[in-house]
Amino acid sequence: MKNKHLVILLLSFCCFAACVDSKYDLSDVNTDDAVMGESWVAPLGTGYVTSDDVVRVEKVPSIREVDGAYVVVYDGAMKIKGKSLRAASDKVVIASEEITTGDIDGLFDGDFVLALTDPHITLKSDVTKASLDCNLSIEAENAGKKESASSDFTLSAVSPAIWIGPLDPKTDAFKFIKNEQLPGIVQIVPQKIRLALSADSEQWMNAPMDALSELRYAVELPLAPAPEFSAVSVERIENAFDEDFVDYIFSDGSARIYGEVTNEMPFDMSVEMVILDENDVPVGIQLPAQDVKGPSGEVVFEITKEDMPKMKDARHIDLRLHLTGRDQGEALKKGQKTTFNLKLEKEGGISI
Amino acid sequence: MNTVYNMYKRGLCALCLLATVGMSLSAQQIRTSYFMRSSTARTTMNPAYRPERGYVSIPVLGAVGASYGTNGIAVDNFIYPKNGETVTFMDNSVNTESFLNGLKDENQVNVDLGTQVLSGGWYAGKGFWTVDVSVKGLANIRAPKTLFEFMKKGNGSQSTYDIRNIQAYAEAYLETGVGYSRPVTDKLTVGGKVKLLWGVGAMDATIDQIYAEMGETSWKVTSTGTLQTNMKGLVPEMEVDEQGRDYYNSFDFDSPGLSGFGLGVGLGATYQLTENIMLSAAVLDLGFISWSKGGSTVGKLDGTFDFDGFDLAIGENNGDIPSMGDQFDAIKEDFENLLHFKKGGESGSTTRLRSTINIGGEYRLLENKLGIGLLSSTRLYSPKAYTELTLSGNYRPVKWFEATLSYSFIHSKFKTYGIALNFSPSWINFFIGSDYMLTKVTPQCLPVSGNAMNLYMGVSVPLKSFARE
Repeated sequence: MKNKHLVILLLSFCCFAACVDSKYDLSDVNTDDAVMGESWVAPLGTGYVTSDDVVRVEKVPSIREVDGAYVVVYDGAMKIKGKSLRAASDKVVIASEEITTGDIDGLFDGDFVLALTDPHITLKSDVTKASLDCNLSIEAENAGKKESASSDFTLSAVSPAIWIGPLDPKTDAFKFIKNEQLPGIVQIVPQKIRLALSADSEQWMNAPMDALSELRYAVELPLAPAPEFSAVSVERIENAFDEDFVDYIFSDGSARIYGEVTNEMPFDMSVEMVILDENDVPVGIQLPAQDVKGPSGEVVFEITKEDMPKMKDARHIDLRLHLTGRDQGEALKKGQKTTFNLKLEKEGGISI
Repeated sequence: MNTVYNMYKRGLCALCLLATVGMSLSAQQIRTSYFMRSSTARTTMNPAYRPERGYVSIPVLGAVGASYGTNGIAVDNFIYPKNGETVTFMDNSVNTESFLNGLKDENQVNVDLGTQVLSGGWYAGKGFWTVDVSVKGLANIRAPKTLFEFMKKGNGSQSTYDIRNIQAYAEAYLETGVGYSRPVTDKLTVGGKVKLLWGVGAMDATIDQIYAEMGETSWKVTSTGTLQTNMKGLVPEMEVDEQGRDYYNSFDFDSPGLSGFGLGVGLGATYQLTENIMLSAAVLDLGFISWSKGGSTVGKLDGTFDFDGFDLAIGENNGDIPSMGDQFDAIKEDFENLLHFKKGGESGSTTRLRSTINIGGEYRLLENKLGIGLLSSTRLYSPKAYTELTLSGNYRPVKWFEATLSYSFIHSKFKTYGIALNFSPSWINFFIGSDYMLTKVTPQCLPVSGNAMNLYMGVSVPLKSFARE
């Protein structure tokens, strides 16, 4: 009888047996690959660079603001030579000046082509008692490169002020002398510019002693880029990738940084994004440059799943703005901005 | 920022544990035993029921029960095996659509725990008296599917989320009850039970709404909700947010005591329709607990998060713009504010008991050795009621042993069954049973794919008093 009881008990409790599935062990849940959301879009941020960031205004003391526009100006008085008793030729140099323009090299990082639409030279004289047929010789030099140009004009009481350049200023204050070679001279980014004013020997000899006592010059380079203009401006976003930010967003999956670039500056640009580590070394993600032509454009930078592991070292962003001129040749003005309104699209979730 | 994500991580784990590891069930009752005549447990399911003999329970072990039930979700909705590891639904290997397809629009997990500290029952004349002192606790948590959609999908394919009614509720109380049943006629027996309830503590945290508009140009998220705790000895620890507002950061526990008082009643009746058919009905736990103002904590959630992108410090002239790291930290703090319950004050509250309605019918044959019963049991959880329909077959081959097999139509889903055993030799009465047998369980004994489980056991010493037929 006792055995019968025991059998009933054992059989009864066997009913409570269950199959343990160790694949669902809740004490050993791995959350290392847990992510929040499989796809996210978010505003990444807005930032801008101003014209005085793009052009290193602080490195070029000769830059002035004229009617809101940036103009590189070298001005002064030319040295007027005394009359000699003999003239060696039909023309005689009556004034000259060597202008140091080395600071212009600081306008942009690296090499650049300073193709401007309206570089010009003005001369203001006090000629009152003579009329002088003159020639202004302009020589520019940068390292081994040399460029030169010249213009003929008459200095007289009627036209004591001369404007030499490719574009007519359309003002009564100056007599316009067209010279289309000047942009080529400026284009070599000259370190020195030599001006030499020659006059007809006979006219100069016959002129009264005080016929020309003062001659002021101004080499004016309005920063209005011509189509051939080419420069690179590197703008850094320091510590763009906080360590936490990278852990959450850029530890897996793929990411797309995209958005609109609004450009008030008179450049077209190709925007290259370079992601750097804390030692300023590129992390090795190739992001094709994005063209922004005209006042606005879209940019897209895609960090692929294959490249994402490189983001673990990411710290800074360099935006390399490859600048080119436009056909219109508008002036660069103080306060103009290029605004980056960027968004982030993340596939593969946010690590938590 | 780690804080917010870790908070979510912890919250997620807690949710998973509750939803999967889940606990809970439908009141301290095991429906499989409803028609077992030798069981003392069934007196808790219908005050009109009377066991064959009086009894005195073994302290604490008189009736121990735990139950867990959901409205359809299970462990394998949230936990997945992956290459020999166990991962959560947040793992990037878990398919979003298949995960979401396994959820309900509203997902709720209910847990009940309880034990009779002391209990006894005896016959006095035609009447049967019961007294008991019990400790009971319940918890439920609910979360809408939209929350999981947000967590799993992100905002890539959907930019607006309206997440409503996330709630966590728990309460615990002591119950002292006196019951009495008595035949009114040859066929009708009625019974009732009156309870005094002593509230230990209650907590209700509700996020009424999280509304998120998360586009590619801006994110705007608002949250509203309330927090109410009533528990003596529960001391909130405050923090101050960047706007100078106090919010509840955590709680300490010190010097517990009683925080509320309540009353409850249960009513039942049985009716012998024919010699073989008995009908029965009961309403259990009609009542309330009034929680006192002292020891209460009231919080209000009214968070706002606005984000339209970082200020990008491009170039050199950006000295006024904080670093990206600082901006990221600030945004994390703003986001955390969405879930900060701000200090409210003190307030009493009243909660109603989770009532249960049982309606049963039983057919007995072979001189009562075999019985077939059908029980409808409706548990009134907040905000919804959950009904279970249980078919049971009862067999009593010998006087000291009775067994019942059952099937619950709504939660079993052909994955599980119920069983109850009652051993009642002359010197002891031992009962064990479950409405949802664990066919496949985790190493922690939780059903892998089942959405309900319970276990009930009790040990008592039979008395010599018998029912007068």
